[in-house]
Order: sequence, then structure tokens, then C-alpha cells
Amino acid sequence: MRESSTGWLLTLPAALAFLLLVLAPTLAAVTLAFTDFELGAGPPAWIGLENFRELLEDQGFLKSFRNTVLYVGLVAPASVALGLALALLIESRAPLRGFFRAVFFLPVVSLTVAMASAWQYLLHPTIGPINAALRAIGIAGPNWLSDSSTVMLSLSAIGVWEGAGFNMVLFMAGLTAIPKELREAAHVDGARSAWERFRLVTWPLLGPTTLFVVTISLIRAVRVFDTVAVLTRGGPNKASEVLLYTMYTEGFTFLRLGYSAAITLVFLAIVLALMWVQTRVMDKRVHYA
Amino acid sequence: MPRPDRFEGMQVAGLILEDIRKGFGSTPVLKGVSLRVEPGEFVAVLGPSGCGKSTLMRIVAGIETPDAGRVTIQGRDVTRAHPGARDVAMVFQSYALYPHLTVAENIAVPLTMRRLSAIQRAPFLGGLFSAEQRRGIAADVARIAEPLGLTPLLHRRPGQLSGGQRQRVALARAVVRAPHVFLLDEPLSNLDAALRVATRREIVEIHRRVGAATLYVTHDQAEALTMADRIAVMQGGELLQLAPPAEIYDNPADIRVAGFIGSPRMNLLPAEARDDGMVMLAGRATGLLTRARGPLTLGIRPEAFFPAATGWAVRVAHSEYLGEATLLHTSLAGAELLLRAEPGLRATPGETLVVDFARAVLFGADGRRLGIEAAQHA
Amino acid sequence: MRDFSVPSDAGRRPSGRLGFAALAAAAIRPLAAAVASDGPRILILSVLGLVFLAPYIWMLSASLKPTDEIFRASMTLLPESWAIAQNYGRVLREVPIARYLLNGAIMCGGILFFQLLFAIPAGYALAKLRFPGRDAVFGFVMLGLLVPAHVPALPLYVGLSALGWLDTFAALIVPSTISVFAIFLFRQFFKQLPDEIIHAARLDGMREGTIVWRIILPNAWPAATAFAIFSVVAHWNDLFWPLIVITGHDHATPALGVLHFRTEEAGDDFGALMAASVLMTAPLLLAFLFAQKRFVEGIATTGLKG
Repeated sequence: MRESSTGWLLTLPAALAFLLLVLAPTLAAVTLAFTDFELGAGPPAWIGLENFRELLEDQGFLKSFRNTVLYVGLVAPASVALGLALALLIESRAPLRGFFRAVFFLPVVSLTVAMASAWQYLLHPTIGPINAALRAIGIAGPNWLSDSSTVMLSLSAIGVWEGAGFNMVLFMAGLTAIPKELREAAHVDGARSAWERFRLVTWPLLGPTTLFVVTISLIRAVRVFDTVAVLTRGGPNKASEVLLYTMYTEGFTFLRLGYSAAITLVFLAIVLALMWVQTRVMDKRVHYA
Repeated sequence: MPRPDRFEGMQVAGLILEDIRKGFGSTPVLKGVSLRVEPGEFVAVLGPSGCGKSTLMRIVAGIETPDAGRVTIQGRDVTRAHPGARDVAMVFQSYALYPHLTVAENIAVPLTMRRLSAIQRAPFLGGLFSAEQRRGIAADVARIAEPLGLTPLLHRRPGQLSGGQRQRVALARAVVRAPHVFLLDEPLSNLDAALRVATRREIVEIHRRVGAATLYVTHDQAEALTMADRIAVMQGGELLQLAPPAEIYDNPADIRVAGFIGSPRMNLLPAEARDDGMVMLAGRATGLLTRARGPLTLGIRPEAFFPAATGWAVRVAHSEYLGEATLLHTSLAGAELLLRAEPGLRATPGETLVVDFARAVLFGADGRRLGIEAAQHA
Repeated sequence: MRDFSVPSDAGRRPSGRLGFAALAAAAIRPLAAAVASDGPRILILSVLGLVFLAPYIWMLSASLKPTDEIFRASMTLLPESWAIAQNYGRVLREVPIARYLLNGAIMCGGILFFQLLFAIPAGYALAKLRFPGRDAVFGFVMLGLLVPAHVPALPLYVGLSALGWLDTFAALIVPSTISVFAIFLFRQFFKQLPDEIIHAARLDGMREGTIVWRIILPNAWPAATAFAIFSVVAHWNDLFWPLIVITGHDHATPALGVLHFRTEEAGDDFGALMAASVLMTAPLLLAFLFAQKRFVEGIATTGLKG
């Protein structure tokens, strides 16, 4: 029939590109993870779970894994909470709404590498304005990005700065989807304070949006790479190694592609697990059909 | 486009449907529908929602393919032809105007597709090779738009039009190429009541001008009764009766037609034919004689009564004044009987009326119409 | 902060076209009036806003200062002696800014072109046409949505290297030409287009190809702009993939350019580094300020569906 041949004709270019550029390389990456493939080191051999056994004993990788978990644990909740607070504050009343929305959204559209440089200056131990301000009130500021005890904290702060505006915009879209009548009904029904109305109407109805924003924030945080690559390169002494940066150095600096692919699989497993949890919670909790 | 068949003495039927069957999954939607629409004839397909009337129309248009049966347009079998190759125009319920094109461009689309080659339709350069055709198209669009009052709107987009205006653009787009078959799918259902009455007339006039075999799908019996040359009453995927409006109203061939037409609809009372053919209602003779025996249904139109004190009287229990008429709630042989009185007659609760069995109709146990041999006054 | 649960549409300021100057002017006048009636809310937002703007403010400030002044670490924003020519001059002399920006534009344009070319027809077919295998194709789309772009990176690198395509525009563009997210987005968008319009087009004599060209494409604009903003912002700012496949300056993107300048040239010359950062951040930022509403809507709609 005409319609089916047209359907295939229109889908075919996309299907071929998907096969060639997504499906095949993804399956290849999964396969690579079970080999000892190194670029320029002869034909790869099948080594089963050897790469994963090595990962478990690799102090560098374990450090990187712990750092990623720490980063995600700090950045995701903080950027979600800040995004929600900003959305509620900005949407609550008209004055300066567009102006503040633009201000908090700026980091989303700014070149991360350039802004990382700006942060490097801001956080510089001697000439940075932050430590200068601390000195002015008599506190000796730490060496933010070169001290292993503060480096993850600093990177996380930058992560929150980058992500809050994005979450704010998603929350704003969720807020405008809540019918005004519901809040007015809550008002009439005696929910006097703004907080009561938030608890009664806004927060429950924002449930699906919140769950979605939480998931997307977690996944974005797991993908942290740019700031580490620009500011610390995993240092000092692997104190700021994160999964994707370790994968990058193993794969593209040391050319141990098999090992790097194994790290990629760990990364993929985390992302898939987060999405699985999201759909499970979505099915159970936050739908009001 | 030359159309010799229109000028020859012997006319080929505009649209013939033969035993059309269609099912979606395991549910049959059309159970063998046959229908013939002559050129210039206006046939309304009337039925409740879900009766298969829209599917029937979509099969004529080529949007759906029937599982079995044949669609013939102007003597050509088009059962499996592309919608664009059938010479069929359609007005959709939602009007289906192209949102990104102006009114003029919307109306011009069917002409552009037919009169210009692919090269001539190409952006920018195409205009160089088709100036003359494009002038012709613009003239045709203007000619169609004028009587519909669309001339001042030609440069607007559908989003800037009211419902009634959109409706007229859809009509203009459908008739601009003078199709052989003209389909309308509930075109008035999205208009308000006042506009609906005005547009009814407009559509009939357009139909007369175009002279196409017209199929008009509706669930509104007022539209079907006022506009159509013939009405095809459908229910449950079957064509129950195909006849002129007066015939459908006065002589329903099927109990389901009787139960659907009229406002309020015909009263249907369970009755029985005695061995001698006398129709009995709750054990009392009605004076109607039939050849059938056993249980049957007695149909009484709401207006089949006269104010009198003798005969089979019913008592008015409640009345509803509607302005142009009064509805009278009564009961007959234990069943509710709804009657409709002309404005002159002011029956108040408690009054008695006499049912006119001479104007009653009978339906057999299978639902088909039964003849009445004789009617004596009961 | 009288009521932070009731957004009202009344008085929503048109926030479309605002330049820097207009933005500042628009902010100050109503600010005074607003603080009077709306004090706590404005105050909290202003303090947070200053924190969010701090990197921009200090970046701009340092880009105007001479090196010795930066090293004095004073807390004044305006320089005592201006060093615009020195800092920006050095960047313009030593960094091929125009080259990087052009590379970025070529990369983003190329990626977006192919993404739309693949995704719009496929999205339409998946939304509106019945063909065998459609559900399987859509299943792969949903599966593809689960896989981050970093996963196929290693084999893609090996493949590009085998083809000898490393350090070319093809290496930047090709791997991102297919976006399952775009296919998904356009499918959802075309689903909302009434079937009747496509039926009407067929009755009017259009063939399937004509329908795509004349009906689907012109109506895809809202989804296409939203996706374009999402795609350009993502790829313009991306560092991961360019860092892998590009080594020299010839094909370096703005992100790579800043990184090169930082590691190879700038050293401790923060003034010049900040000047470079300002210049590289400016284009997308200005685009955002001029089309704020489209950006926010684009990111919100694509974000919520991704």
C-alpha cells in the first residue's frame, strides 16, 4: 500500500543513521567492555569480566565513583530545591518576573568552559574576590580548587549554579499548568496562609514535575565533565576524579578502550537505574488521573 | 475538464455503493451497505453516533478501504483509488483548513494540485512558468469566494476566523473544483443554533449550483429532513431505510427508524394480534386489523389524537408548554404515552383526549413494518 | 512574599526583546517601586540574583583591569587604570576568535540541519502513517532515549579514526546528526495535528511527498524552533566530544578555544583570559537576551519532554 511504503521511506534515513551512529556503537561499547582492546596494541582479546574485576580494585576508579556519588548527592537536591524556590518566588507576583527569570537562567545558556574560567578567577586562593572578601572580615579562605578537602564542594557549588536556572524553568512550566481555580478553591476552603495553600494544592499537583526534575537533575549531575576537565583535571591527586572524566582519560589519554568501555557501562547502568526508579515512582505515586 | 456524461441523455449514477462491509478488529462497523446517489441528488445519511455513517463516508472519500464491496463514481470503480484520484470533495467536521495558509491559498490548493505540474508548484521559480495558470486559479478562487462573503477575508489565516467563517472556507475549498461527488461530514455540528439554520440554506444553494452527487452525514434529523432529497437512516452498521423525508417520517419501514425520527419520537407500545387479526392493547380491541398474529408493536405518533370525550380516552397527567407546542404526558395501557399539541389546543392536567388509532402504525416482532388491513373505530 | 503559591497572569511584563542597557534600565525604575510593596520577595531574589551574576560581573571587571591590579586582589569592580586595549587586544591578536565562533556556528548549523532532516519525516511517519514495523521503530526510539551520548563515544572515535576523519568538521557533526529525542519530540508534536488535515490534503490531490513538503514542514515550526534552541545550546556548550576528536585550532569550537587559550597561552594573565571568556560567551548570551521568551519556552518544552 502507498501509505506503508511512504512510512518506510520517511523513516529509513533516520533508522539507518540511528543504526549506524547509536545502536551499533552502543552495542560495540558494551562488547568492548569485555575485551582488553587498546588502541594501537594489536587485536583485542575477550577477557570476560576482567575489566570489571580490575575496576573493583582500582583505587582511582573507586575514588572517582565515590566523588561522582558525592557530587550527585550535593548538586541534585540543592539545584532542585533552589530551582523550586526560585520558581515559586518569581511566579508568585508580577513585578520583575521576566528580569529575574533571565538572571537565573543565564548560566544555562553560557559557555560552560568560559564560565568555569570565571569561577577559577573567583575562587583563586590569592587574587580571587571570594577569598579577598573573606580576608576583609578576617578569615583565611581555603585554596578552593586545589585543596582535596574543598575541591568537590567548589565543583558542586558551580554545578548548582549551572543547574538551578534550568530546574527553575521546568518548575515554572509545571506551575502554570496548575489550574488557578484550585488555589482559589483552597483559599475559599480556608487555607489562609500561602504555606497552607502550597501544601494543599501546589506541592501535590507539582508532583509529576518534581519527580521529573529530580530525575533529570540526577542524570545531569552524573554526567559532570566540563568543569572538572577545565578546572581540576581530576586533581589534586584524584580528589576530583569523576566517572566521565576517568572514562575520558582511560580511553582517550591512555587509549585503554576496553577498560574505558567498562567505566562507560557503569555510567550507563547508573543512568538506566535512575530512569527505572523514576518510572516506578511515577506509576505508583504521583499520578492523579 | 470535459464531462460528456452530463450532457448525454443517459446519465450514469453519480455514486454507487454496493454491499460495503468494514470492521475494525473484531467489531463490524458496516454490515453490507448499498446506496445509490444520482448526479445532482442530495442524500443525507442519518443515524446515531457509532452507527457507521462516518466510516461509510470515509470509504467514499478513500480515507478508509472497505473489507468488501465496491465504490463506483461516474461509472468508474474507485474502491481502491487514491483519495485525490476520485474526483471527490469533502467538508470535514473540524473543517481541516491548512493552518499555515491564507483563506485564498486554502481554497486554491485543490486547483493548484490539479492544474500545475510539480515544477510549476515549486517555490520561487515555479511562479515564472505558470503565470497564466496562476491567474486562472486566482480568478476561480475569487469567483467562489464572492457569493460566500469571503472576499474581505481572503488574506487572513484560519486562526483569525470565526467558526462560521471557517466553515464557509471549507465549503469554498470543497466546491471550487466542481467535484462529481460532494461529501459533508457533520458540517454544522460546531456552529451555534442560529448560524446552523442560516448555513443549512447556504449549503442547499451551493449543492444546487454545483450539481454534484451529495452525501451529507448527520445525526441531526432536522438537518436531514430540511435539506435532503432522500434520507438514508443507518443504525448498527445497517442501512434501515432510504426514502424521501416525508416518506421516512410518515411511513417508517422499520421500528428503529420510527424510534429515531420525530421530536418527540413515535410512541411504541407492546400489543398483540388476536387470532382474527384484531390488534389488542392491554386486552382491549384497538379496531386495527392485521394479517400478522401474535405479539407486535403499536406505533402512535405524538400528534395522533383528537380532543373528544368518546373513544379510547387518555388523561393528561402533566403538560409542558414549549411555545410552538405543548407536550402532554399521558399513559395508555400502563405505558407512558407522550403527545404533542398544537399551540391552539391548551390541554391542562386532568383533561381527557382520544387516541386516533386510524393513524397508528404496526411493526412485527422482527421490527419490520406491517400492513393494516382495516381500521374500525374502537 | 505575601503569597508564593498564586502566579497570576495580570501584569506579566513582555519579556521578549531586551538588550543589556534596556534590561538594566527596566530593572532599576520598577525596582524602587516594587521594593516598597513587595519588599521581602524582591530582596531575596536580588541577593540570590547577585550571587548568580557574580561570575559575570567579576569576569567583566577583571577583563578591564591590568594584571597588577588583578593581583592586588582589591574588591573594587571598576579598574583604576583601564586595560581594555591591553586585554582584549591581546586576545584578538593571539586568539582566532572569529575562527572559533565560525567553527561553532558551522558545527551547530550542520548538526541541527541533519537532525531536522532525519527527525521531521520520521516523526511524521511515526505519528500519522500506518506501516508495518512502526511500533518496532518507535520502540527503538524509546530505547535510544535512555542512552546518553557518552556511551557510543568510544566506538565512534575508533570508527572516525579508522576513516581518517579525526580533526575535521565531519567528526564534530556526523555523530550528532541523529537525535532520537528530536524524533520523539516531533512525533508528539505531529500527533496533535488533526488527521483530518492530512485526509483533506489527500482529497485535494496531494501525494504523500507533497503532504510532507507542503503541510507538515510549514506546521513543524513551533517544535522546530524549540528543538533548535535546545540543540544549539547543548552543542555550542559541549566540551566532551570536541575535546575527543579535535586536536588543532583549525576546527576548534568556542569551548575548545577557551580551553586552549587557558592552558597554552594565558597562564596567569587573568585579564586576557577573562576577556577571551567574555568574547566567547557573548554571542549565545546576546541571542538569549534578544529572544528570551523563545529560549525559556524552548528549553522548558524540550526539557519537560526529554
